[in-house]
Amino acid sequence: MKGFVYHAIYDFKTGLRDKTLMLMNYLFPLGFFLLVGTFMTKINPFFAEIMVPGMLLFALMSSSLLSLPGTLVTSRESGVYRSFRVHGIPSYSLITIPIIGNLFHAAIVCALITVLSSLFFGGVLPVHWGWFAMVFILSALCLSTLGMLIGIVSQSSRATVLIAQAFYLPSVLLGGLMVPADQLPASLTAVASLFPATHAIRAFSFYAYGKTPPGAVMANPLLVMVAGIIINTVLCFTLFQWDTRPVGRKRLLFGLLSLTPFVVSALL
Amino acid sequence: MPDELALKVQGLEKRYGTTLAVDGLSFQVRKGEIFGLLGPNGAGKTTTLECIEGLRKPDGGTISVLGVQPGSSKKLWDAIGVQLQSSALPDTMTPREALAFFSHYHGLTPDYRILDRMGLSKKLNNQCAHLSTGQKRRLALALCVAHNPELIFLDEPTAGLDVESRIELHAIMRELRDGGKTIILATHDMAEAQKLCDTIGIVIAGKLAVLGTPSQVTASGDQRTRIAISSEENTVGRHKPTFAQADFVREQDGYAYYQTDAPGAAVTSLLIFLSEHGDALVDLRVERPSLEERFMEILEKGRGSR
Repeated sequence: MKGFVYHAIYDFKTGLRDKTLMLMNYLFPLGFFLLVGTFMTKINPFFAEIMVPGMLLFALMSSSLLSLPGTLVTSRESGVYRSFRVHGIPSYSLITIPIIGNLFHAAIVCALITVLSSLFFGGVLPVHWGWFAMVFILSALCLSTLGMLIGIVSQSSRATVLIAQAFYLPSVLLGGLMVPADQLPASLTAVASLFPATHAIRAFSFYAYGKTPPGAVMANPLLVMVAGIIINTVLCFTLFQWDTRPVGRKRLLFGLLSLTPFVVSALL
Repeated sequence: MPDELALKVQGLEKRYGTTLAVDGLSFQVRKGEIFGLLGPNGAGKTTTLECIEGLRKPDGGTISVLGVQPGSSKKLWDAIGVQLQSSALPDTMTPREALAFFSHYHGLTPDYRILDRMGLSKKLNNQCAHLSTGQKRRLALALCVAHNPELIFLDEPTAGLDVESRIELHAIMRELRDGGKTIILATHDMAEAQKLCDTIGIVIAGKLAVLGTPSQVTASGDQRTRIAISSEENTVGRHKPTFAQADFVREQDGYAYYQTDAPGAAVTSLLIFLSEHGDALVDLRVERPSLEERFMEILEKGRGSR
């Protein structure tokens, strides 16, 4: 237990010490937030309503999809995990600690975005703070476990970037972070449902901002995200590899199971 | 106690696709000895070690590490220390953090004196990315032994080190052995093996070609002992006498060179010859074939038989 706690503290410090992690966890999302906050509210007044959840999800996706899997693949490829293995460090530490660390960094960025958007850019604050916190945690876990899984099934650093971008870019464009999702054509709405960010923004809207609740139970964004977290976690533990040798393609195919709850919700 | 086994490997096999990397390897290591696993690159040394350490699953055979099957228990990870050939730590981790990190996982309070012992006291708070190759190697060794393991695996520990660091590491390894630790050393540095190891096993193409003490391994070869003799009048060089026990090879720079299978008898004959000719001995050298020469011989035979 002492080892786990020390590891978690070290991991958190690394997020502040490592330049790449600092950039992806803090500088990039906060810089983008300040830029968008300054201009978007003038171009699109509606943006103030979705600024807080939208920018939170942007920050979560930057750290979870662009930074987390890359760090994992680099550690595996360079033999860091093998060095950990020979000291008996359990795989659950290597899977859960980066997720916990990511959650803490995201919470700091989340607090900054929430306060700054309200103070300087007229961002609308949530109505139900308890639900806001709950949706934030579930979104962070859903995206972090997905990021972890991407790192675990990626054959190389290059593949990691490609897979992560396949989630990141469509999520930004279609997930309702910049433009309300209900303004998208029906076909694109179904496509958007394949991405966790879409469900996260819906959950923020329904639960934290008190807007119209979702109809179908299976399309409930919280349920979809919880299912995503469970499946991702199970896949992470099943497919995790210590070795420096390239990950087999079978793992990548198994990793696609992660999409199951999102595909079901898109079909509904 | 001296004959108690630290490691027993029986018929170990490991395949990578269609390639048989380790082919029925069997050996055992007694507690308190330094066992050298030697072989050319790609012979299967690292694969063998990784199977023993529990990093790879063997395809056949049995392994018993301190009486336990590798990779099966957390206790075993606490009882063994492993320095991997390509061990790595996160770039941003400092030696102090690394020691604390692993010590806590072993359930121990970190004892930073080991870092001083390894000459890293001035680098405690430097990030790993800024350590030299030698410092990284020393840190790896410190982390490998910090939790006081019974059995230590060192895979090419001195590769890439300068002479001074190498001598220092050799002294540390001897110290560990004298302190009752068992060390399994994979190396292709023959001089290192000859100096440090109590027993060596030479692996060629995944098979154990020879096993024994360095002296036994060296003596088991076809190569003969060399004698070089120099005298005031160079009588031997001028007369080139032949003896039943020794064959004259050449005369060069005032020395006469012989090869023999019976060095004692040959030296006696040469000294008698000098005395009979009223010449005085200046220098006499008896050189046994080195482990490196024996290794090359085994390697050539291995290639020839394939």
